[in-house]
Amino acid sequence: MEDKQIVALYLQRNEQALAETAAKYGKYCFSIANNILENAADTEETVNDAYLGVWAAIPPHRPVMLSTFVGKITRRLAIKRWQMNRAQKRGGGEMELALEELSDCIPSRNTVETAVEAAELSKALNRFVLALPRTERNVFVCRYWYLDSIDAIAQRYNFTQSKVKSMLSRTRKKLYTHLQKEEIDL
Amino acid sequence: MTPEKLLTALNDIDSGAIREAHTEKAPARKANRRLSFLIAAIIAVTALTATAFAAEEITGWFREYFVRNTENDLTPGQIEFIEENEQIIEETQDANGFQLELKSVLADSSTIYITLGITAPKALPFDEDNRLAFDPFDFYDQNLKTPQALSAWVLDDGDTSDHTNDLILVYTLGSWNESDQWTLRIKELKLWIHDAAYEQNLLDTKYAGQENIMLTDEEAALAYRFETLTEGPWEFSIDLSKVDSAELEMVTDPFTTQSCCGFKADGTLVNEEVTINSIIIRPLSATIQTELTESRAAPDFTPTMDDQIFVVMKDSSRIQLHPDWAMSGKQHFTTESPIILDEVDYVLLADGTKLMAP
Repeated sequence: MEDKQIVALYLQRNEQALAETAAKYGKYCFSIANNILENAADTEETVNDAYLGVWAAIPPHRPVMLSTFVGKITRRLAIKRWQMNRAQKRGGGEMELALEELSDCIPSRNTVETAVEAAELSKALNRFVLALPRTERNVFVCRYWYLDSIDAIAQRYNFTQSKVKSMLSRTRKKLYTHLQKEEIDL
Repeated sequence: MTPEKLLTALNDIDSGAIREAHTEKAPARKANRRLSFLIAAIIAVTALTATAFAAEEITGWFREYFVRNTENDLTPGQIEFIEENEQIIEETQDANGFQLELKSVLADSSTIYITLGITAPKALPFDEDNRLAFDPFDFYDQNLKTPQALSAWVLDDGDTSDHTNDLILVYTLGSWNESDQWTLRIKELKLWIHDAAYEQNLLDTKYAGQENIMLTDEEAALAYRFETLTEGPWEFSIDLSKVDSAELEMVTDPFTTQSCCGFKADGTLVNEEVTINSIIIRPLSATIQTELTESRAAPDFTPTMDDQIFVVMKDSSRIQLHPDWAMSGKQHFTTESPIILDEVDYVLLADGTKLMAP
């Protein structure tokens, strides 16, 4: 089924949209989440949460590229879960979790500032990524968006691992310079 | 600034860049190609709905497709375009008793139509609930780069045999597809099955009278599933070196227009002013480039995505542009039927703006 047909099902609030999304993008989402979580059970739960996230988001959103729309929600939830897991593993994990939960309830100026900063950082990163040469951009996105391993990227592009590492190193240095120029607080 | 914060902020980079990184690959050892790319992105073939037209007057595969697509007869110019540009191939290959025939190809520089015939040793079960599914990665150029998008349709093959079917595959290319030589390698014929009876039974029993029904994972897996019809592979080479690369730039100076830029929570459209830098019309496709501004650098920003845009011909007939994909302010469309560039009068945008042909 084409993306626009699946999106139409979401807009009609037809639950078949979820099955279609799972059939078409299930493995894609699993791959994104599993690269972050490295745990099949957590990954499955995250992907299911992502489907519900898509259900909640469409409408009002109406994505043209459903794959990346679902992918972004999956990645965001996977990172959040990874943060929760890490906090739980630390000594006194509940304290960190509680602080994190309470932080949502404090409408402080800092929260607004943080949100503005995050939006600025996101825009600066977008400009940086789009300005990179194509291969460099794809390697960078594979590593830091999809979180593919160096080995997987090397195989995919038929590069040596050292070439991938040196390419990423150069890109990171460029990113550092770019963020400084954009006056992002480092 | 922490690495974690940086990694999180990367989430909202341009969707096109994310998709490109997922689909593009440098020339690699062919044997390894599929290892990283067997992400399921399957396109199910949809049956074209029949329309009232004189089938006996239409002989070519593409003529039939476009006539059904537009519900209008083709003009003599369009028929001439198809006859001049359709590559008749008629190459057959057999695997496991299933014969695939690559019948013909019609393309411009960014959209490729392929007609395939299937002859099976048994009745083909295609209908609304049993559709053939294709993997978009089955089609790749000599650099092993795959297209941006795929849709697939069943054509009426004009006979009464249920052992045969004609299909049309429509591929749209990304800016990374720069090769002339392509390979269509279908590794298996796969059915996407919707078990409507099972689903209806669930709705009538377990979920009877309920609102906001959500099937469980197990139920969804039974109601919607893939099954292999037969394994292949079938492999065809396609040469696009002689494709018509003509195009028409409709914009001489960037201009602003009102365009659908999103939706409110209640579903109503949000129209905003956008600047359009370029509108390129080709025989089978079109590309609109909008200006990305600070406030519109957001991922997934796709102005014009729900606008109805038409190319109006000198004889006053209108050909609609259907959106395929968008990336970095560039949106790609396929045309409802072939556009004869010499016959274009103007482009009609959603807000009524007319752009006259140069």
